[in-house]
Amino acid sequence: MALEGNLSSFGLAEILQLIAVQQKTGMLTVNNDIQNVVMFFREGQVISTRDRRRKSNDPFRDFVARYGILSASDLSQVAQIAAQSKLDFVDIVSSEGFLDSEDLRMHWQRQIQESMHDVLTWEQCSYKFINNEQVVSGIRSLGEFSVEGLLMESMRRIDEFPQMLEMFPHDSILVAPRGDPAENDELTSNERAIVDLLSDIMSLRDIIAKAQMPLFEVYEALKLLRDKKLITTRDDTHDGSDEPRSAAGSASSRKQLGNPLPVIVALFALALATAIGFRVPISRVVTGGHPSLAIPVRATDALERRRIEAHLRWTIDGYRARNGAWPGRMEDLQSDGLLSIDTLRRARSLGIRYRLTPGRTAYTLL
Amino acid sequence: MRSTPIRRRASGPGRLVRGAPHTLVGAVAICMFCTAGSAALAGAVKAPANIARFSERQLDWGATALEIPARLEYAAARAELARGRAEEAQAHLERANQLAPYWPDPYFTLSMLNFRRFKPDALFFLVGGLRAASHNFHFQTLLAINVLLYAVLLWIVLSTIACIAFALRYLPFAAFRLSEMLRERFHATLPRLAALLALLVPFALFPGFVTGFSFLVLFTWYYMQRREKAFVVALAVPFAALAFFAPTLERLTPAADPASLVSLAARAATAPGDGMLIQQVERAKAPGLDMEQNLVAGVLLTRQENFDAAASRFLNAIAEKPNNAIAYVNLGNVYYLQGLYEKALEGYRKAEQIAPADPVGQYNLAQAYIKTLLLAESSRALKSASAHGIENVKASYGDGALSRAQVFTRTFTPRELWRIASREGRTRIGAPINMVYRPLTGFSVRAGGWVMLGSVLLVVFLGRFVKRSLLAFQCSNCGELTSEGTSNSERGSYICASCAAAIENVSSDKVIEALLRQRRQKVLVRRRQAIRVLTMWIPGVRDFYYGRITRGIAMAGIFSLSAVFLVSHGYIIRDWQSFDTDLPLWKLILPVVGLLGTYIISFFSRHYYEVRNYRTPLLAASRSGESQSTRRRSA
Repeated sequence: MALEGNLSSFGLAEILQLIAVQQKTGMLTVNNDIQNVVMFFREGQVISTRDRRRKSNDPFRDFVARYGILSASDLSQVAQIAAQSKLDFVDIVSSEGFLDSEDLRMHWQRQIQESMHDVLTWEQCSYKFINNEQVVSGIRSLGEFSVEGLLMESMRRIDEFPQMLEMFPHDSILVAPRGDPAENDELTSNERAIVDLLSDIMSLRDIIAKAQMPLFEVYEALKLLRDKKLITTRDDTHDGSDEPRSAAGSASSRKQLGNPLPVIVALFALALATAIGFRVPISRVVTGGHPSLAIPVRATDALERRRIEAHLRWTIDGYRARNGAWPGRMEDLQSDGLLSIDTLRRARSLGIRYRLTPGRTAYTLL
Repeated sequence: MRSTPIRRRASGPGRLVRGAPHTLVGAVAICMFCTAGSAALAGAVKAPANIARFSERQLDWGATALEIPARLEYAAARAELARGRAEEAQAHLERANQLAPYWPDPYFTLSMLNFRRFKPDALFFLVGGLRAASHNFHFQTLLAINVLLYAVLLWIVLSTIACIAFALRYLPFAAFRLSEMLRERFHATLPRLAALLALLVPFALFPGFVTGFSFLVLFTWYYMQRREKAFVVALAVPFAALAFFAPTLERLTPAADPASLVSLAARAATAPGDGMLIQQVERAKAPGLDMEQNLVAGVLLTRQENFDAAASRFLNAIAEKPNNAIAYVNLGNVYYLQGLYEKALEGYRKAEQIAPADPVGQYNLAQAYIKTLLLAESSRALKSASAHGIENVKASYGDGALSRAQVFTRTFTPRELWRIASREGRTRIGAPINMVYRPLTGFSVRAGGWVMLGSVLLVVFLGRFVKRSLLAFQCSNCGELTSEGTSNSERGSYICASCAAAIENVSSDKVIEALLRQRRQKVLVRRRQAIRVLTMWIPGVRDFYYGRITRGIAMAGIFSLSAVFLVSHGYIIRDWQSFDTDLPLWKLILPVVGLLGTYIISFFSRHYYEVRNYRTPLLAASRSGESQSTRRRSA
């Protein structure tokens, strides 16, 4: 059974509540023209937003990358392992100890929360819920999260986020520490993380990238820290993105060409050996022309000639038996059906000639 | 060489051998007249009158079997068979049997013809053919030499297929270390290609099967499985045996040579007293066989009614070997045919003293006794001749010949001819075997076998000194080539650098296992595809490649047999005493079916498990400090 529609018929929040109340199990697909989000529910609880069919688009991996939860090198290594081993991203992160299980679950929940927040901010979208046990079978999950809780948190964020955007209108804004945060004992864990990160002036973009928490939580922590006068902000449009790139990178990436001489020498040697090998008989090289070991070329050729001669004589006798006279030419044997064209050619190639005596009473084979 | 036309028979005592009306010749003439009415018999019997005259002249000159007319009948039968006229073919074949009773080919064709028609006569003709073959030296020699040459050719082709498979399998091993050296010392581009090209240089410099086999063994022996090594030895042993027995086998040489004394002697057994044949016998170079040469020439001269010359030849033979029953019998014949019965009797009695069990001697003695009116002795001699198989001698005569013969010519039996061939072969170079051996191997039989065996022995010796640690082996994970210097053994077995790089900085066993599995599958799929492409061109190569020796031998054997048969049409050395006829269709269809069958099986055969050549440090350490190759079956 599928439930389909768009925001004009039912709001997404109502749909989510419906799924939660009726404890449905299945998959909700929400998409606008640009994005597509998938949520998996088991008995009304959200278990994952990762679509196993679209491995290239993994929201959890993007989340981890976007907020610096794993360093670039770690991410690269995980990506490499994933590409080579076909293992799931979460499995690799967990097995290789990049994140412990508690952190992993926390980030998993944050990612789901952020996905729901994003979806609820969409002004236009369509949705489709497939109520089926099978669609969630095999879905990897690190926990089951209440729809109500996620909805409430999302609504709060939707309400508060515009204020934060007013405070931090763009991500190039610079943030600097102020005062002594150690004196303030009322800092939350997120605020403490931001304070620890802010050893010097940083752009908001860098803070987001390194804070290891969702965007909203960064903004929220910064807002609170600013309210507590522990940070100052400065709007500076300069960004350093146009720094000259290091020439070393391009140099190192340049593929080094090896020495082609060995291949050329080997190729030349092979060609030379082939030319020599097919011109000089091996027998002369190995046997040194010893009579008992030398190849009896003449003997085989002579034997072949004797066999052809004997065959011709036999055939000539057969012709005479049939026709009462010797054949006028060797070709007569072939036209009479006694000798094949192959034998005739072979006889010619061996230089065998047939002649009748003047009185046609005898013949010679030369 | 100048031919001598058949002369008119001289008048005199020789006319005694002329029999009454020649029923056979008449029958042949009538039959040929009937068949000649069919204009469609192209290449068959055209002029019955000519053939009848020819046959009569042959019989006049003492022929005991009409070989040429018989073969013309046989050719006519083949033409009839090609047209689907089995009855007419059978008639021609039966006439051929009558003309040359100890020529087995018509019997075998008749047997096949009757077998196709589900007639029990097939068995009768088959037995008749075998019996004729046992008395026909020419047939035996052709059969023996062709079987030998077929065996040699098949073994060469089969060995070549096996060598190709082993080259594909193990030459990359040999090239690997060379490529490592090229990479390290010269920083070479495409080092493996350069190494492979370098390894191919000796093969190109000394082309041929023998050198190819030897170089291959020298380069790859150390990487082979024990079973493959045993197979390589088994491949080399027949060639060595061929070299060892070459002096014996070379005795077959005169048997395959139409100008040899033994071939001429075999032909003289049934041939008329043809001047050309006598010349050939006199010119035959057979050192140490003067007695036999004199006997053969004497028989032909007797048939030519040149009695003085014949008697001289026989006396010469007796002078060379006093206890010569054959010479005495034939000398008796010379006197008998001249009407000198007392002298003939003397010769026959002398022969009886030397060989009392000779049926021809006894029969001729009986005839001489009759002429001298010693009937009791005649009866005794006839009984003795009958007891010792004079009927077999009579059976070898064509009907017309038998009726003309008053006494029988004592010619050499097949067993005696084989002995002559053996003696004559000692003085000749083994041309027939070399005729097929040399173009394919580049060596003579003697040299080739010893070179191959020598290379195997050398490599067995060298193998004891080659350091295993220097040899390449396969990665225990992916099967790619590696060596101890470039591999990683941290996980208990050697894995290649690529596999090691794939699991670098990874600590979880689960992830490592997944990474290695993925790489293994990826590499295996790629390698299997490459192997499939490389091994599909010649049936049997894939089986040998995967170590399936028995199946490989079967596939390569069928392929080789079909290929050789298709090229040779059944005979490598063809019967020179025959007429060329159209090739039977089955001689094309059968080998083509064999070739196609092996190709189809080869193309669609599944992949086997690769027997991998890999190493583990523990095993290496446990085996007296040397890294010993171990193998396992890996999917």
